[in-house]
Amino acid sequence: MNYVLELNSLCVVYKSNNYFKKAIDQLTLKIVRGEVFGFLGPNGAGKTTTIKSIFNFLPAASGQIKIFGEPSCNYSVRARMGYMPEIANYYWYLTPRELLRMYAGFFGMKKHAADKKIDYLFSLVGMQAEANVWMKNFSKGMMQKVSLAQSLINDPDLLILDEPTSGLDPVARSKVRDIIKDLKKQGKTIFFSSHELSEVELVCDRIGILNKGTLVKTDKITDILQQKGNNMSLERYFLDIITRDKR
Amino acid sequence: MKIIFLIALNLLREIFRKKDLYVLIIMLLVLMSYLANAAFFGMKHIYRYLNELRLCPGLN
Ligand SMILES: Nc1ncnc2c1ncn2[C@@H]1O[C@H](COP(=O)(O)OP(=O)(O)O)[C@@H](O)[C@H]1O
Ligand SMILES: [Mg+2]
Repeated sequence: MNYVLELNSLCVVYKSNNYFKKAIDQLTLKIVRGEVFGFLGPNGAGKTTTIKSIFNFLPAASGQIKIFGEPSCNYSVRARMGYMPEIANYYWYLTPRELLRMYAGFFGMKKHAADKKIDYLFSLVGMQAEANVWMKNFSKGMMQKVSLAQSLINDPDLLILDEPTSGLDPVARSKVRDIIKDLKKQGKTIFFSSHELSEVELVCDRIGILNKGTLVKTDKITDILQQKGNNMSLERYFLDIITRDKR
Repeated sequence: MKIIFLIALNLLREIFRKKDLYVLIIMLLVLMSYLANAAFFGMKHIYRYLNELRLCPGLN
């Protein structure tokens, strides 16, 4: 089986002089092509840490990460991935259009094609009106939209989103959901972390629950909803697992 | 290389729009003009030295 994303007993450690924290402990995870994977967990479980180490922003203490069957530091692999950070901290004094032009330049897109793509992305996330305003004047949700547009600029085969719906209004949320469903139809693989269970229930094929750096459970959404009967929601399931898992 | 130029271009844009740099430039100008006109303990030969360096346009 060809996996798009493969984590093998990954460990990530934060350490400095007087601080030592094993943020991720023996995480093994395999994601196949065309799957929408929801990565759940309470605050401080290590979701962001995992995502950062997938991109090699944080070096793994042990274990290995493979993307499209290759190590994650290859540029050819990176060019096929999209990343939406948890906290979007872009240049305040640039407009979203200039920012996206810069990112398009990184991927070697021609100017005309890039402009077309950027217009399309702005209409997709619903930001045409603010495309030429400095980002200094933006709210958190608007920044979030810019960063979603940024993650889609190179038509990624593997899209990694870190809490894509935090700080968005209901309209934008349903838009994000539609975008994810659309990408899934095109055969892209999506890996996103979230703690908005209602969102996850609507878009994901499979979920993994992370608690204190350990992957507690992975399961198909349809299985969860079936095995628990009709009075069991994903929220109950999640709470059950987290409260039972005392470590 | 192209990527470095792209980042540099956008950083410069950011710096000029931010207008923080202007404060620095104006402060520098003020400080320079003050230093250029300073009388160091009233010693004439220091004036001459500065004049030779073309730092005191007012003196001859
Ligand atoms: N830069 C850092 N330095 C030290 N410890 C960190 C750092 N970032 C996160 N941690 C620790 O790693 C754990 C996981 O954090 P994180 O991955 O951000 O959680 P979340 O699942 O909420 O995204 C937390 O317990 C946090 O204290
Ligand atoms: Mg996080």
